[in-house]
Amino acid sequence: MSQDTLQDFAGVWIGKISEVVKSMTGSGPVKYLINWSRMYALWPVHITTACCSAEFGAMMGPRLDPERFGLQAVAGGLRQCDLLIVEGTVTKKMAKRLKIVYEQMANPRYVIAMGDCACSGGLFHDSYSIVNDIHKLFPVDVYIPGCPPRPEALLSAIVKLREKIRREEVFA
Amino acid sequence: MANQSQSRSEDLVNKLKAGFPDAVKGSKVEGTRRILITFDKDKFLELAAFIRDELGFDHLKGIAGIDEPTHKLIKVLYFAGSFSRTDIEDIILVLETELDRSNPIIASAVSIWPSAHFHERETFEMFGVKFEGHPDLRKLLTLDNWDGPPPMLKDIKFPEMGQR
Repeated sequence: MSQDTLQDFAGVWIGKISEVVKSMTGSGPVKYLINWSRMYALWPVHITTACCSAEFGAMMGPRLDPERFGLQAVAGGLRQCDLLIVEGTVTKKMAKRLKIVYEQMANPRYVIAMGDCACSGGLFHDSYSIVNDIHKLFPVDVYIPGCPPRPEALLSAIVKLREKIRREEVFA
Repeated sequence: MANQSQSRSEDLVNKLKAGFPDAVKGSKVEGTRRILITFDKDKFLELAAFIRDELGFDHLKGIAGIDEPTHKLIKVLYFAGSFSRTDIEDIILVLETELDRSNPIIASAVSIWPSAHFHERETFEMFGVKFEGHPDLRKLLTLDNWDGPPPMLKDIKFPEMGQR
């Protein structure tokens, strides 16, 4: 068997397999299973851009216990994480670092903008050193207003994000 | 106890006034642990050396700037404290001076208090105050490619951020 035929052979089969996977995951139990496993294993990145991280810490505690909803402990390894919580004001200097962190994360990845500042600039909306619209850096899934938002609000954002993951297409 | 602290602060002020009758323009004991001294900027280095050596305030906790465009002034405030003298370690001595707003220049305090290094760089960056004799007067906190005016001045506006 020559090289070309081998490639054709493999190509046909890989094409067929991907079609099969697509048809299986388009709807039904496979899609449900994949989305279910994704929404029960959200590994957050803990990057403190500002003071909202105190509320994040309060939310991660035993009183609210977010592991009920699949939010895992803060592990630290960016390449295994899939949830970026932007905790507060994003300065222009920090925006560069935030983008690098986002690009290191594994797909599929989700972003929560926490607090007024991360949503729209908030109190510092007209400052010379603030990024008002972080949706220009990366797509944002859930916005939480509040200055700072209560831990319960952050928890409800996690629940909303889970709803979103449950309904999304697997190989869109 | 309160009277003791009061007299302790007044002793410091009287010592300073006796040493520099011209340079010290005004003084105010603002509380048991806070003294405000207003001084003339020409004699700053001699005054600072006296405060460090004779009064015992051996480090600088910070430098602040205040912009007053209506009076055409930039005020610079030095906050001095002491680690070595236990009897005055809870006192913060505030040294305040007024600079001309169009050309704010004052001598650098790095030779007296080395901790002034970063504080002076920050005040230079945010208010445009030039510290003569500073070893490395560069900007500190703003963006690397920042070439705008000192952002903390009151009459500086950033229209691209919606300021009016």
